[in-house]
Amino acid sequence: MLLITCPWCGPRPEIEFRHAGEAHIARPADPAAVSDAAWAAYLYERSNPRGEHAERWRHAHGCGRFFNARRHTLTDRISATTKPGETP
Amino acid sequence: MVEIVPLPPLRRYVLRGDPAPLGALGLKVPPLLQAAAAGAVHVLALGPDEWWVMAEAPPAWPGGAWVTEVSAGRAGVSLAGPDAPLLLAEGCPLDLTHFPAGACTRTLFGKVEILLWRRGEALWHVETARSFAPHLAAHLAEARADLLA
Ligand SMILES: [Zn+2]
Repeated sequence: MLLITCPWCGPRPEIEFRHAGEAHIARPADPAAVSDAAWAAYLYERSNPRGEHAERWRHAHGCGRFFNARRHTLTDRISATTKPGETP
Repeated sequence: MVEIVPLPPLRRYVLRGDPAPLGALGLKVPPLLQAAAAGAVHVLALGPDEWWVMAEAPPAWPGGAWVTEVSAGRAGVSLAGPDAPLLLAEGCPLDLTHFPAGACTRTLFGKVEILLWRRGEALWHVETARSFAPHLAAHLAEARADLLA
């Protein structure tokens, strides 16, 4: 069983968690001033790296909170998990 | 040995954000994933800003407290007996050897999200959304039969 460390609850079974996409995607402050292409990029374009990836996860069947994780997309190894706003 | 007993009707309240109203009920704010009690009123810290208050009778919330009552939406069972961790291991992915009396958390049993609370050394409280409760009880009963076979 893969354990994921929730920044609040500690190491917990993977099955309690939900992946929530790439982390640190900032919504444009003034959407009306953004071009269609830039808006589409904000909505749909992701880095999809082969290697270290900053991701959002949610401890859905636990404390319920979102947090950030750095996961290697080849090995699936999670090297750090942090509360939102913290840097690892 | 473990017995499965339906929970009595309970009042359940969800308090989010500021735990101050707990003080008015005489409750200490428990550390995350632990429970505390004042008389017959219990509080469970299920998230960093989320507390569930449970009691058989409605507690005297102070004026101005914002809580959500979820009593009728929840149901479950008590597990009584030293083999309860063995029974829970049938569907719960947690290592319950590291789950002392007074600990509580949301987790899973099979495909059902549960609230698991170890009320005493050999007394466990397992509840879920009311619509899942018959499935949860049936799963536990079947697991218990396997355990005893
Ligand atoms: Zn958590």
